[in-house]
Amino acid sequence: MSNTWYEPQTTGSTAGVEAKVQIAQFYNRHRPIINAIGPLLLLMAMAAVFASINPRFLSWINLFNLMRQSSILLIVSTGITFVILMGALDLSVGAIVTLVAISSAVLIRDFDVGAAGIAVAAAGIGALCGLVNAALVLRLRLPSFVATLGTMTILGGVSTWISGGANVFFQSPNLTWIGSGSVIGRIPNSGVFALLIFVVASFVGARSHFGRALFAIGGGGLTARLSGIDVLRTKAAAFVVSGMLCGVAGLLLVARTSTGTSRMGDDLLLQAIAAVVMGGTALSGGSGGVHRTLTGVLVIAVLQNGLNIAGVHTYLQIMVTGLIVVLSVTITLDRSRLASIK
Amino acid sequence: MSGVPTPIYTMRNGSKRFNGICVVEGIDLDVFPNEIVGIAGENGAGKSTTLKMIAGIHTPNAGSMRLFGKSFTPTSYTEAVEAGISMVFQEQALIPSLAVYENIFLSLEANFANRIGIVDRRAMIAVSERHLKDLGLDYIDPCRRTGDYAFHDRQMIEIAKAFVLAEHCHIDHPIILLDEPTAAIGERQIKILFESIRRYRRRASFVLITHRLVEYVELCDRIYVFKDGRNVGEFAGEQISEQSLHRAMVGRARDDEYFMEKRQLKLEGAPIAVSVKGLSGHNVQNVSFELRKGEILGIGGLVGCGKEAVAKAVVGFEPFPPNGTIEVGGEALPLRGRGKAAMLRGMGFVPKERKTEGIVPYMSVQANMSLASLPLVSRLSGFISRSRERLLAEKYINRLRVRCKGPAQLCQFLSGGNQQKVVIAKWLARKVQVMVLDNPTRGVDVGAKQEIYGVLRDLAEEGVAVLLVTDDLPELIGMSNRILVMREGEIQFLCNAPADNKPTEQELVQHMV
Repeated sequence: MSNTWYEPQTTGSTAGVEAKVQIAQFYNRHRPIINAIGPLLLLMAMAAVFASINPRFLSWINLFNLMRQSSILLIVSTGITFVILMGALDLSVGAIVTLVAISSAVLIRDFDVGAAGIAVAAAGIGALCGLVNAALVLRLRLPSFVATLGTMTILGGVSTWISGGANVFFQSPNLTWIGSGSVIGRIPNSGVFALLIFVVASFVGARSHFGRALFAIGGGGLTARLSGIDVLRTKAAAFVVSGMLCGVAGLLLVARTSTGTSRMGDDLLLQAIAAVVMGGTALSGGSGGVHRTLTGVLVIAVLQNGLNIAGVHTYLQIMVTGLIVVLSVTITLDRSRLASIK
Repeated sequence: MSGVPTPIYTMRNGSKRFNGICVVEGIDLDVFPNEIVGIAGENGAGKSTTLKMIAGIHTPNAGSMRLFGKSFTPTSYTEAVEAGISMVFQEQALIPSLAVYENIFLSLEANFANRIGIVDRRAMIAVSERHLKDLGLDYIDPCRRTGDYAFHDRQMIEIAKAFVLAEHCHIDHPIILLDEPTAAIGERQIKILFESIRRYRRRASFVLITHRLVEYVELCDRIYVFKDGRNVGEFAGEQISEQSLHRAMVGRARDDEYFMEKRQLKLEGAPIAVSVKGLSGHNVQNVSFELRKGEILGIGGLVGCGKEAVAKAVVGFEPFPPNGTIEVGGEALPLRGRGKAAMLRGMGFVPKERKTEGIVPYMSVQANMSLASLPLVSRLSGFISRSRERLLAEKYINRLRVRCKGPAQLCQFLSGGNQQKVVIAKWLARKVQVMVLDNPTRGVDVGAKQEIYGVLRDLAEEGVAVLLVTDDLPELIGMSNRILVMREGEIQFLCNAPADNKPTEQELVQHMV
C-alpha cells in the first residue's frame, strides 16, 4: 500500500559536510573553554607581536602606562556589564563620564570643592543619571536602547552648557595625585582603583542575590518574577550602579588631565560595549559575567598601546582596532543565542 | 467523474516522532474533492502535527502520502503549496505593514517582473482584485495596508491567497488547511467564515481543526477522531453529533497504579489551607472553593473556561481576575503585590509555560533550583554560598531523580520532564505549604510524568495542599481528591473522587461542553 517510505535524514553526506559537522561538534562541546581561553590567547599573541616589534612594550614603565590607560575603560565596562547582563543597554555611559568630568572640573575651579567632596559629588551625579535612566525605562516603559539614547543626547547638551563650550582648566594637587600618582610602588592609583572596583563588582555579579537576579531577569524575565524576584528594583539598581561607576570613571579621567573637555568620555561607550561582548557576555542578557569583562578591556587597551608603541599611524590604529574587535567577537559569540540577538 | 469518487489526497500509516517520542502513529486520512474534513481530538491528540505533515512542515517518520494520484513527499511548506496544499495558520502568516496585494504575491513577485527586474504593480493589483471579487471579498482593497484589516478579514485574505497560489501553480482544486480558524474571532465572523467556506468548497477541499465540537458538526462532511496520536474513529453524515465525537475522543482505560491512587488520602476534617470566595473578573464569574491540607483538588474544563485564571489569581500571577477574596491560612491575600505575599505565605507555583515561566534556560540546574530561596543558601546575608547551593541542588536532584550531568549543567539541555522537576524542586526548596500547578505534565514523557505524580502524592502526605489545574482528563481524575469542572468562567460541577469511586471521563466531559 505504501510506496514511499520516509527515513529521517540519512542521506549520504559528503566529506566536507562531515568535517563541518565535526568542527561544529568540537566547538559546541568545548565552547565554554574556547570562549574563556580564546580572547586570552588573542591577548598573548598580540603581546608577543608587539614585544617583538618593540621590546619596550614589555617594560614596566609601559605596563604601568597600559594600566593607567585601561583603568577608566575597565570601570565603565564593569558598570555597563550589569545592565547588559539583564538584557538591557545603557548608551549614556560615555555621556555620563563626560558630564561628571566637566562638572567636577567646574566645581573645583569655580566653587573650590575639596577632594573628598568632589568624589562624593562625582559618584552622586553618576548615580543620579542612572536613576533617570531607570525611571525612563521602568516608569515610562521605554526600551532601554531608546531611553538611554535620549539621555545620552541630553547629558551631552548639559555638559556643553556647563562648560560654556570651552575647556575647563583647574588645579588640584589632590586630584592629580588620585589620577596620576601612586601609593603602592609605581603602580598607578587609577589602576588600583579600577582593579579594586572590578574585583568587588565581579564578586557581586557572581555571588550576590542582586547578581543572580540580573542573570535570571536577562535569561527569563517571567520566570524571575514568578520566583519572587523584585524585577523593577533589580533593574533600577543595575542602571544606578552603571551610572555611579561612570561617575567614578569621569572623575579619574578629569583628574589625569586637569582639564574638562567636551566629549572627552564619549568614545568610551562603544569601547565598553565591545569589551563586554569580547569578554563573552551576550548582548541579549542572561549569560556571561562581570568578571569576564576584564579580558575584553585588556584586548582593547593592549591593542591601542601596542599599536602606538609600534608606531602605527593613528588612523590605521582605529581600523585595526575595529578589525580585532570583529575577530574577537567571532571567537566568543555564543551563536546558540543569535536568534534573540539578531 | 463516474462511480465511486477517488480521494485527491491520501495519507497511509502516517507517523511522526519528536526526540523519539511518538506523537502520531499509523494515521490514515483521505480528502475527497469538494469535501470539508474535520480532525477532532483532545489537546495533544496529534491534530496539529498531522496537519503540519500534510502541509510539509513536518516530515513523517514513516508512512506515505499521495496527492492528485501522484506520490507526495514535500520537504517544506513551499513544496506543499506548489503541489496544491496551503495552510491558514493560527498565528497569521501575513506581514501587517505590507499592502494586501503585496502579501498575496509575497515571494512570487518575480512572475510580474519585466526584463530589467521592475515589478508590474498594476498587474499584481489587477489579479488580486479579480480573485478577491471572485471570492466575494470586494470590500477588501488590495492596496490597503494588511494591518488595517481586522483579524477575520486577514483570515479571508489568507484564504484568498491560497486560491491565488493554487492558480499560479496551475492547480484547479487546492486543499486548504485551517488550523483553529475560529479561535480568535467572534460569533458573527465565524458565521461569515463558515458561509464562505461552504461557498468556496465548489473550488477546493478543506481540512479543519477547531477546539469547538459544535463547529465540526456544523461544517464537516466527514470527521476523523484522534486519541493519543492514533486514529480512533471516522464519522460521516448522520453519524456526526457532539455526543458521538465526545465519546470517541475521551474514554481511555485509566491505570490506577499509574496515578498511585492507593496513596490518595482520606480527608475528614483536615484544616483548610486556602479558601477562595467569589472570585470574579475577566472570563471568571463567582468562583468559590476551599482547599484542605493534604488534599489534591483538581480543576478541569475546556481551553478558555477560566481555570488558568483561577490558578493565576491564587498565586498572584498578573494579570488575574481582581474581585473576590483569597485566604491563605485564614488571612486574605492583598491585591497589590499578591505574588510576593503568596510566596511568603508558603505558596509555590508550577506555571504552564515551562520554558518562559518555569526555568531560566541559560542558568544552571543549581541556580534554577535556588532561585526562589536564595536566603536559604546564603551564609553572608545577600551573598550566595556556592557549597550550600550545590548541596541543596544535589538533594533535590536525588530526591526527584532529575536526570542531568550535575548541578552545574545548564537547564536548557535538560528534557522537558527534567526541566519540570527542576521547577518543582525550586518550590520544594522553600518548603511550600500550598502548591499550585498548571498542566504540570504537559510535554513531559511518560516516565517523568509518573515520577511527578509520585512527588505530588508525597507532598499531599506531608500535608501540603495541592491545586492541580489540568487539561489532561485521566490525570485530573486519577490524582484528585475532589474535582471542580469549570465552563465559561463558572464552576459547573463539583464531585468527590475517592480512590474507590472515581468519576468517568464522560461524566466530567458532559459538564464541560
